[in-house]
Formats: sequence, structure tokens, C-alpha cells
Amino acid sequence: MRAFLALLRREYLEHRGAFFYAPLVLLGLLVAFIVLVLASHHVDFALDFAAREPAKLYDLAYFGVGTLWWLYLAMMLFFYFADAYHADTRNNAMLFWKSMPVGDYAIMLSKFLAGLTVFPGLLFAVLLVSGLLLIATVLVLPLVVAGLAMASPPALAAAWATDSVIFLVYLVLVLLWYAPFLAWVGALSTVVGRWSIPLALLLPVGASLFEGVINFQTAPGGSYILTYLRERVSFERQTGVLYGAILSPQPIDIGALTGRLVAAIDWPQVAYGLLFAVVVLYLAARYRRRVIKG
Amino acid sequence: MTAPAPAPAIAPIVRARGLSKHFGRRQILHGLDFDIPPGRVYGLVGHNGAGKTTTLNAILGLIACEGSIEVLGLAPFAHRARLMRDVAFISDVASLPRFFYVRDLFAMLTDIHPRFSRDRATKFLDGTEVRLHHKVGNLSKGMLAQLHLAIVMAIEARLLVLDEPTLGLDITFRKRFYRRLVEDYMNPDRTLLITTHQVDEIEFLLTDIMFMRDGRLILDLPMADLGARYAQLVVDPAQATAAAALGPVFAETRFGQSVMVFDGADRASLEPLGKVTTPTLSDLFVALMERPLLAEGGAA
Repeated sequence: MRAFLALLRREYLEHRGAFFYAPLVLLGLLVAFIVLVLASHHVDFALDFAAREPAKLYDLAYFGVGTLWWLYLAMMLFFYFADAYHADTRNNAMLFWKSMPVGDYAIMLSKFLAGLTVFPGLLFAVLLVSGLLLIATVLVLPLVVAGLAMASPPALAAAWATDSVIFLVYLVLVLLWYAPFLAWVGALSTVVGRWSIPLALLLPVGASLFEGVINFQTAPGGSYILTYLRERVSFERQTGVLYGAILSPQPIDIGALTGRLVAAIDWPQVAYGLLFAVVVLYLAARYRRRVIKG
Repeated sequence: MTAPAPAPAIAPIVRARGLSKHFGRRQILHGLDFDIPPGRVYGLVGHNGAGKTTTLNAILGLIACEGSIEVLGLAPFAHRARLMRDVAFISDVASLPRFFYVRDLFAMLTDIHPRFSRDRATKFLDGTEVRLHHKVGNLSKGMLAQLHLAIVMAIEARLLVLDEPTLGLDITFRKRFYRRLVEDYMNPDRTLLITTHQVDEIEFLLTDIMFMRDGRLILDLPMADLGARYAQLVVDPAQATAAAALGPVFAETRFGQSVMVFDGADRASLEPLGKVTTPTLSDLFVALMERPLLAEGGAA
């Protein structure tokens, strides 16, 4: 276990630039942007926020910023999985890692779990800080924008806590849902390096095209594979549930929203996906076992 | 009264029987048979492409081979991770992970390798230019070699394998590398297997020598037996015909003198024919590499 935790730490050390330092820089830019906006009094809302509760205004701002962080995380995770699995070959470090008493599957698994826990965890921590920053902003905003009601700090703190829990639930669900896709990118990367970036999409699309020709005019949607993948990559229902609750003028009910998010997931598909992830990572580890170049 | 039981044979650290390897249709190793007992320093020498690295890779469990090979009683390819608790190796000093600071690397190795000692590694770095706050990627090749050596020396391994560890290093670093290896690392419980092209530089530390040629082991001999088996004769010009009649394994002209190398010849019969010495490893290497392979397939 100690060795495995060290492997997770290794992933952090190798990729802290993308998942720690860069988010901190972006957070700094966000602070600078907010200070500039407040100091210049250049605030003009397209929506009539004055009519809303300050806590609801806070929800909207926090989820807006959170959406940007999740987009950043999604992009970085894709490139992490496309890069980290062949990093030892590219960095000429394969033989060093082969000289350690850890198996190839443990290394592959550590990369997978780092991608699903350590890095999202770091981004979640940055998100929490962003939320606190927004509390300060909402407290100051009525001093700048006429007509806005003063917010109560305890109410904002409660909104921050509620929203953060919702964010965490959504993050866990989205990671579970897309874990097989990330594992697929990582496994491909083990074999073909950065070619995994286009191939992760081109291979299933190519397979769908061939299958579509074979099952011409018989498969629903033109191809069984394409229809399945279209369903499998969609996370619209859960996202719809989340944003419906945010945009609603009603306060967020954490229990009800969490329940609806969890209920909106196709859990058997999550289980199949995780099984698929384990299988492709195992096969990639079998491949890596024979790789000594680098 | 019963006869005393024979002393138990010491199990070899490495045992290979019929070790073969193909890459596609090309056969790289041709059924190698050898044992490496504990506490020895083996030199594995051969031309580029002779199969040295493939043999080492088989020992280290990096490739699957035909035939059988056991290292510390384990099949290396099937149990590489377990084996690496007791085996350390350097195949390329540039393979250290370059994103790490030295202190981070030591901390990680402490957690990953049960036989690694951070204190020992730090101590081994004393007297070198490498510092704990240095980033691995910023070190020169010589410093990388010092760091990598410090790491493997800080691992309580029973077998240390070095594949061209000083390749690309200047003579100062090479000499320092081997001196530290001998002074700070070797003890009777450890076995060292080393390949290099600079055979003269490691001759002083070897207890055994193996020569490889075209995927075959053509020599596997304790260094102590080298003088008894091989003789080099600087031939008296008047005795050239008589010397040639004794069947040297190799003959050449050096600076106008005829030099012959004999395998298993009686030194007393050579002495009347010129000046007899024990060939250096590099002379013997040249002799055995350049002679025709008449009896292929087995260790000499």
C-alpha cells in the first residue's frame, strides 16, 4: 500500500504543473479580474439579479465558476491519460521503473486512480477556494452595484457548503461515468503514445462505419456501435438535473438534488464501464510488460 | 560410523539452461548454459550485437526467452517485480525520472523499495557534485551516473547488474565509478554482473569473465584460471614455424613482432619459442573474437 501511495505521489509530482500550479495561476487571474471589476465599478448584469436572493446570486456565480473548472479538468484529464501512460517511454525512464519492485499493472492502476482521485481532488480544492473568493465578492458587490441586497455571511457560507457538496457528488458521478473512456485513452496511449489523442475517437468511429456498412439499413441509427456510444457518452440528464436546480429560484435542497442526480445514472452501465476499464488497463499492462525501450 | 554428509552446494544466483531468444526470424541467443554463483564479480563482454544486453534483459525479467533461466530461484519474466527486491540494475544512467528533485526521488524510493536506504544514498552522494535540491533533469551525464550509482548502492540487493554503466562518461568519472563500486558496495554476499566495452577498466575487479560472440558464450572462466589456460607468446622470429605448429587460437603481428595466443598449451613447451605471458583481457578478447568459430554452441 505504501508503494502504491508513492506511485500516486509520483503522478502528482510529474503532473503538478497542469493540476496544481496552473489552476493556482488561473485562480490568481480570477482574483485579479474580480478586483478589477469591483474597483472599476464596471458591473452590468444581463439578468436582473437584483430581484434575486443574494444566496441565489452566489449559487449562480459559484456554479458558473465551477463549470469552468470542470471544463478545465475534463480537458486536462484527457491529455493526462493520453500522455502519462507512455511518459516512461518518452522520458527514457522505462528501465528505471522496471528496476523497481512494482509490477506494470500497479503502475497502470496508479495512473488511472491518480487521474480519478488525486487530480480531480486538487481541482475540487481549488474550486472550494474559488467559492470562498466568491463569498467575499458577493459581500462586497452591494457596495458597488446599486439595488443589490446585502447578503448574510452565514447564508452564503451555507450556500457554499451546499453547492460544494453538490459539486462533489456531480464530480464523482461524472468521473465514474467517463472512467472507461479515460481508461481507453490511457490504454491506447500505452501502445501508440500521443496518437491516442485522435485514435481514441477515430477507432470507435471507424468501427461504427464498418459496422454500419455490414448492418446497412437494419441497425437503429445506422449502427449499433454508434447508437450505443452516443448513449454512453451522454451525461445530459444529470447535467440537466443539476442546472435545473441552480437556475430555479428555489433554494437548493441538497438531499433531493443528490438523490435525483444519483437516480439519473444508469448504474449497470457504470459497472460495465468500470469492468471495461479494468480489462483494457490489464491488457495495456500486459503490453507494457514487454516494453523496455526508453 | 556413517560418512560425513557432503557440504551442501551453494545455489547459484543465476542459472541458465538452453537460454535462447528470437526476434522475428533472427536468433539472438543460441542456447546459453551458465551459472553465476554468489559473491562473484562477473564481466560479460562482447561486441555490439553479441547478445549481452539480451542476456541481461533475460536475467532481469525484461524479456521472455526460450529455455530456462532462474534468478534467486525465480523465473525472472514471471516474477520481475518480486525479483527486483533483491536485484538492482543500471541499464542506462539517463533513465532516472527527470521531473524529480533528488530529495523527492529518495523519498519515493524509500516508500517503493523495501531495501532502499535514504541515509545510505545521501551518504554516497557526499563528495559528489549532486545535491538533494538538484532536479534530476538538470544534472550532467556524469552527475546522473553518480546519482544512479548512489541509488543502486543504497539498495541492499543480492545481485547488481550494470549494463554499460559508464557509456559516454569521461575517464575520470569511469574510474571513480568503479572505485566506489569496489570500495563501498562489494562484499562476499553480493554478486555483480557487468558489461562494458572498456574491458581493461574493469579487469581489476572481476573474479570471472564471460565472452559472448554472435549469441553464444565462447568463454566462461574464473579470472584465476585465465593464466593457466591461456598463454600469449611473443614469438622469436626463428621459432615462428614451430610456434605455429602448436596450434595458436590467434596470431597477429604487432609492431613487427609475431604474437600468438594459445588455449590450453603447456607453458613449458612455449617458453623456448619466445616470451610467454598471460594475455590481458583485451588481448584475449581480440583473440577469441577474431578466431573462426569452429566449435560453436558451447562455453569454452
